[in-house]
Amino acid sequence: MNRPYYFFVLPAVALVALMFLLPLGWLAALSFGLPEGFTLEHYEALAGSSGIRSMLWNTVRLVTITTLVSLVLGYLVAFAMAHLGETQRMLLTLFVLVPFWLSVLARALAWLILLRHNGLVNEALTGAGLIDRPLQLVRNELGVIIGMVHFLIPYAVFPLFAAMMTVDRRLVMAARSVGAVPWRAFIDVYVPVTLPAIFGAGVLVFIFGLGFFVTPAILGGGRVVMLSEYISVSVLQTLRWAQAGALSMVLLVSVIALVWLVARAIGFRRLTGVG
Amino acid sequence: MSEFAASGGALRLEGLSKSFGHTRAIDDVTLDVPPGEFVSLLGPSGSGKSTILMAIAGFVALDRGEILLDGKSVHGLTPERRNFGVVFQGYALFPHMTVAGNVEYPLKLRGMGKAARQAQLERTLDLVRLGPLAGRYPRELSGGQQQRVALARALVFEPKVILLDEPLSALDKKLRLDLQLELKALHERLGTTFVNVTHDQEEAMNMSDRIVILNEGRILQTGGPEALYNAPNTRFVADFLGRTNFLEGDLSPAGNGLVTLRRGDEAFDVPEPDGGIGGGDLAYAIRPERISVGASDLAGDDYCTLRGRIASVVFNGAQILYRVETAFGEVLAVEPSYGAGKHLLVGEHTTVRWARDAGALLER
Ligand SMILES: Nc1ncnc2c1ncn2[C@@H]1O[C@H](COP(=O)(O)OP(=O)(O)O)[C@@H](O)[C@H]1O
Ligand SMILES: [Mg+2]
Repeated sequence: MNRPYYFFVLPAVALVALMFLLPLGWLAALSFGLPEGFTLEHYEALAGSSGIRSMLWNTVRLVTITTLVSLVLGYLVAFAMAHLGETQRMLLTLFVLVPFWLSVLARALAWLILLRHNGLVNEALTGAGLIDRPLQLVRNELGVIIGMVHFLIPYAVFPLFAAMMTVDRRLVMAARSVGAVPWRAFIDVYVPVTLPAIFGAGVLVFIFGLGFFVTPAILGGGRVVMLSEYISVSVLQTLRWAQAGALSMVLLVSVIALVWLVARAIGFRRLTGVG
Repeated sequence: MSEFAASGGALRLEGLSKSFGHTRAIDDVTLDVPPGEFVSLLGPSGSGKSTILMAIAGFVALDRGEILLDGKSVHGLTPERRNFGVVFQGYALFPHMTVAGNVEYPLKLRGMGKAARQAQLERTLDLVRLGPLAGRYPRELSGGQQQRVALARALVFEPKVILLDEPLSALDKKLRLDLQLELKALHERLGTTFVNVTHDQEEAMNMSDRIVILNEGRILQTGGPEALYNAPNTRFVADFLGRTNFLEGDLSPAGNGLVTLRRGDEAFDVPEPDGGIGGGDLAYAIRPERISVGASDLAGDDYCTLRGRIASVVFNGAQILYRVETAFGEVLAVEPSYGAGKHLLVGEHTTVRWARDAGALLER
């Protein structure tokens, strides 16, 4: 129909193909031992290596925790944004967005400065006499989770906020008019009505969480190795490209599975009559 | 449905006022609703109807005034403790609950046991004829069915007062008429006090014991449908409730409790209003159905007559609508379409006549 316009898209398509699909295809080929022959040995190696298995397990565990924490905090922020006055909403949006615009690297380093032994947080706590030894806030899983949650909260906040803005205020009023105290109305009506958005935001945050490598590398201090960082190291440092390829495929397939779940979530949304 | 609670509450609104910024949404509204009455707040969009209803329900904090249920102030009671059944505009059904879930929810909140709850649920669903649809979700229902679910949810805990915000405005015209009659029958059966809000004058007339006309947050007139229709106290009420011709001209006393309304070389005598003709901006209001076109048999002192020319004729089934050009401007007259022996055509010269006390001089 709009045939001439396809030409305008061509450069973008070419760029994606060249910079993204080509390397990806090449990695996939490497993971199957191509072009020398076809083998699944790299995948078997993944399954066989206890180090990699525990790395994968750690990744899923940390990303899950991060997702849950981001969802809870994000829900509260989004709720505040949706129900505050116009000025406060703008201010809050700004607070959520400003860090969003900073580079991941800068943010990870900032957290390092805040959370390390002689960092601001520990200094303040010891100075106030609340603790006598600095807390281990960084270079461990806690540090990674803090850094990831900080990065991922906007991805939870904005879909939730968008959904909350479409919630009919009269639903909560109706619940209250038939006898529900505010928190009951919130639990019984507001949360279920926003459930599809919670689900969608959760999947989004989870997918982004899987792709992290800068934050764990810096805030985990080399002690917390997650999937994306592992792939990066395999490609850039240890040069085990076939292994990196196999891991990439695992990541890719999981993400596609999750995206499929999101699509299902939209069906789920229709199912519950929301949206 | 003898088991259903049949006691209505007496509602009293005392000097309610509420402003949003510079908008006076409610302006000194006082109203007494006796137990079991069906009262409608009728007014154009933005006249403050919803704000009044939401203030009664406890969702709008008033600037001034007091709301009393059976003589006791509900001031300081949160909405959930007021125990009013509310049918919201657009129904606000819980989308994630079935019909049964929606209707049962108020009972669950009251900690009612499962058996009693089930019995009350069935009774209520039967009352609004929703029994077979109990397992459906709101989005699987038609507008009329959704309206009944909303009603059932508001009725199920047997409140003394039901508040309805434009309960039928989302439905198409034919369905609306059916549901008006249904709602009225339900009201008669239950004896609950109903406070209904609507901008549809026909709906208000069809259902209400009493109508309260609102404009710009103020009550203009209160009365039964017939009284209001036949004796509107302002031009606004006359115009809002049905159609009315307003004839304006120079007024002069004519004696015998009459005044003469003159425009050009045409004049007629009408009853003098209670307040005299000194002040105010008066117009003679006469309903179209009270005017006869070309009826030469209506003569005598008690009739007003104007000469005119037919400007348009519309046949709409039950009635014929004539627009007649007169010295007082265009006059709308409605005649029954049956047995009308006259064959009046556009352009024909004729007279319009009506009994002089069929209309009244009203202030703006
Ligand atoms: N929450 C609100 N904030 C500001 N203005 C409002 C609010 N609610 C109602 N109003 C104003 O009060 C007036 C009456 O509104 P409303 O009671 O909704 O009228 P109705 O239901 O008769 O159409 C309108 O002018 C409306 O704009
Ligand atoms: Mg309204």
